[in-house]
Amino acid sequence: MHWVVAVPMALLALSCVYPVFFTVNNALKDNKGYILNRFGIVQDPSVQNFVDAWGRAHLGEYLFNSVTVTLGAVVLLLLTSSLAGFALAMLRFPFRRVLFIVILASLMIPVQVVLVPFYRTMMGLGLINTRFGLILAYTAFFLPFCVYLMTAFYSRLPREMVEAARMDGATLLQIWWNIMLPMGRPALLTLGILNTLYCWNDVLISLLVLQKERTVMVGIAALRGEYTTNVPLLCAGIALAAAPIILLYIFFQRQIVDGIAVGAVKG
Amino acid sequence: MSQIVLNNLSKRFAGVEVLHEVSLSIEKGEFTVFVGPSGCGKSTLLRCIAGLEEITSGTLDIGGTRMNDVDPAARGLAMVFQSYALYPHMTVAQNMSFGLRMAHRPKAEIDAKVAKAARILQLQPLLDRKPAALSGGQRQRVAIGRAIVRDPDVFLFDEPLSNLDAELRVQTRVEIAKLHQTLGNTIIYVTHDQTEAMTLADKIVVLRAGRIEQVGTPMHLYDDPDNAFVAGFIGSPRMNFLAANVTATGLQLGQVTAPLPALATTLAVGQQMQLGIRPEHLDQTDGVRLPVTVEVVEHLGATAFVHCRLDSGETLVAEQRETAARPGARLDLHFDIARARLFGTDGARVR
Amino acid sequence: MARRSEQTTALLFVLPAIAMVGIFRMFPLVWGFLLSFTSGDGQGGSVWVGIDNYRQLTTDTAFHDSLINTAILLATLPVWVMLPLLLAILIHQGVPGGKLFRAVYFFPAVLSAVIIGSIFNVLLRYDGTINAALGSVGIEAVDWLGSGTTAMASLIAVALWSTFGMSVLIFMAGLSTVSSELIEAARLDGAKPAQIWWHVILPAMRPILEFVAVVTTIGVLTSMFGLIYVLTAGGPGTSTTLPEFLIWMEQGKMNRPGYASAISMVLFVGMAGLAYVQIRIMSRNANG
Repeated sequence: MHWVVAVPMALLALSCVYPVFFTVNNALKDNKGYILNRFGIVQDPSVQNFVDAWGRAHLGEYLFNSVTVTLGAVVLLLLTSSLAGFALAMLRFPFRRVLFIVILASLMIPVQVVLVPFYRTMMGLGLINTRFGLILAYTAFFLPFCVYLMTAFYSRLPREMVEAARMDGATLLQIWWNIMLPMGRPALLTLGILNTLYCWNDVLISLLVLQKERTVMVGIAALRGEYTTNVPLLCAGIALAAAPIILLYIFFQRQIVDGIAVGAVKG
Repeated sequence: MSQIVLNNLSKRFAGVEVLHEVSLSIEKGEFTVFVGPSGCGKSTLLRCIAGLEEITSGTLDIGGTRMNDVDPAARGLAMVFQSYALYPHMTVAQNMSFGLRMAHRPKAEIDAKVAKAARILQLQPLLDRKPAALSGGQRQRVAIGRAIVRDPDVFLFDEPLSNLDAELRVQTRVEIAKLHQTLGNTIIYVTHDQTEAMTLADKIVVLRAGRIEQVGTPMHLYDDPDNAFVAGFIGSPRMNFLAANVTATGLQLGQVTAPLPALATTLAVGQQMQLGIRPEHLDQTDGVRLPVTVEVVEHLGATAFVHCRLDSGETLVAEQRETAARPGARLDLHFDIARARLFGTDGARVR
Repeated sequence: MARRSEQTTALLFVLPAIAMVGIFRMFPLVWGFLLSFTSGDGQGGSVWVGIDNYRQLTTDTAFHDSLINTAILLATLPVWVMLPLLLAILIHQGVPGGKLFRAVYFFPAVLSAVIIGSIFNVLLRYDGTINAALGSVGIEAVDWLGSGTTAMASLIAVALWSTFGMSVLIFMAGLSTVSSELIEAARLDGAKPAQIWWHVILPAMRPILEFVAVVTTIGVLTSMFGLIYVLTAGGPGTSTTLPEFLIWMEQGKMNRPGYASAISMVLFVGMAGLAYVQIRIMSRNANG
């Protein structure tokens, strides 16, 4: 009876990885090879499509943009959320609870809802078409969940840790940098990986903010329009753009799984 | 002049007063223990002295300086926390030197102070370990080491032994007593365990519900408690309390008549009282005779606790060195009335 | 820890987060509300038009279509919740290969909607791989993305395929928190496996079910943009246009920011209730 359900489940699993095989397999063919033999395994593999995608289709540049913006946004997200989480979880100050709710409440405002005024705000601040602007935009939209998770994580640590450091004469800033950041490592690692996924995969905010330069996902979307008939080249581009994420998935699967579960089940 | 002076110190949390006008003086070099049941405010009082809680009203002076609004680190104190609060990502040496490093002290000074504290506490072989690799007792010593490195005028201990197992607790208690003899600093120590208070303290402060019940040396509190609460809290097993009725000739305890102890107060005939008798004083062979029925006998080797019931239904515990008592048997207990203590029905001591 | 300067420092620690959220989300929301009552005057400025934009929405067929498409999408929600729940239960019961399935199901969820959209575009378009495969066994080609009904069905199927693994994970995390003592107690009471599932495990899973339902609903309302953008571009016609995509079109291609803002406000009001429930669940978890 187990095998009766295991077979359809295995087929479903196969469907989840087949597209990767399809993409890589076809990226190694030339266009003629693809049209003549769409499903077969590549006969004489060539990396020419990857070279073309990297250079002629500018994916190299786009990848560089994505790396800069993703790194910048993730670092900024981790610093601001851990700082805020430390204060919200460990310190006593007026409006603490209100501020926590305000940050959570901004989850009610996805980017679609403020598309026009958000664009105008960015324009007014001179942030349109700058990578720094995109970094700030990602930080603003992915921050509430990070603050939520850091606050929840820190509030489970003993407050005596902070008090001991206070008795030792450390300032709050020193306590944050020397104690809270290192102690927040598991949560920060999870958030770092999740937000790398979100920033790298985003297309809407990037499309809105970076109109001259492109991030790699916007680049892939454009590539699809420009090279409609050259499927192998498109596949090579897709493989390049997805490779970092696939590596992240392979190496940090546990952290990703934890990060997603923690939002739902109190961890 | 006293080193630490609390004057009418009160603390309110969200409108609830947890400390009521506490006044207390602590002398230099004194080992003072705050003791009381949980929720009595002893930890809060310690934290007010440490500066971890704001003082709502009243004053706190340390070394002659008003400390109400002074930063915790600037009060010349060091604290050992109940959970030890060691930083898990730092080695023992880094834990101990944290405060000095944050203050950007010269490396030579830091190394010298850590080495000295490590020597006092025999922590040298553990300096490069992380807290996770230490036993409970070792962590406890690191927490004390961190306090020593600060070279404070006053050590604060917040229930430092409560996370240790029974055997280690006794051992560490002795070490803390030795440490006090070696360093000679003022120590304020919070515990709910009266044995720790009795064995360690120069001065015990008994607290209940945010008020000081009595202050004194261990033997003073044991011999001359101000009220039934202190009498019951200090000493183990706790003092027995029997209902007593003042008659023309003495005290009526159920069917037993006892003479009145020597008192400065004159009692009215018919007045209701409580007579307190410590279990260890119920091992006499003469004096007032209490006929009882034995219910349970707990043999501890050197002594035995005999749990008995009086004919009036009241229960009491007697500590006896050698006993032939068997459950269900009748037994006569004797005590010296001069060692008993008399309390009013409100708990106040009648002297 | 309550001295004034420390309170100020603590506030300063929260300030960057508040500023980010305030400048880029709260303030634009208010501005968008005001913008929704304006219209471009053709010279780069804007004029106050009162509720004209909203009035226009009532007769805009593209907007109506986007609402109908949303309704169709929402009607499929039970599948989005029940399918992952069923899979999670089966894996939890110890189907052979369960651990591997869990990891693999989750794989599409880490990929960008653009990646998935592009791959499926190659697979599904008229001269695409699937039609070629069908042709080779003699089945007539279907214009998956080119005809109204199949385009919407394709979009939903691809979106479901790319996110179900996420819900499987959440359900599995939830199942692992159901106390085994509770289950053993029920077994000792003589309950059959099906009864244990129905009377013990599912009730204990209720908060997780609620969470998945809310998060999935919010997800299908706000995270479909990337997929629509590369897979169907909202077409053919308006058959796969959702409100979020329409906002994008009105803002960019049509250059009607006031009108786009009005649609935004409708989307915001529609979602606010859902988001409120999500926030309540989260703040309960953070402080519980």
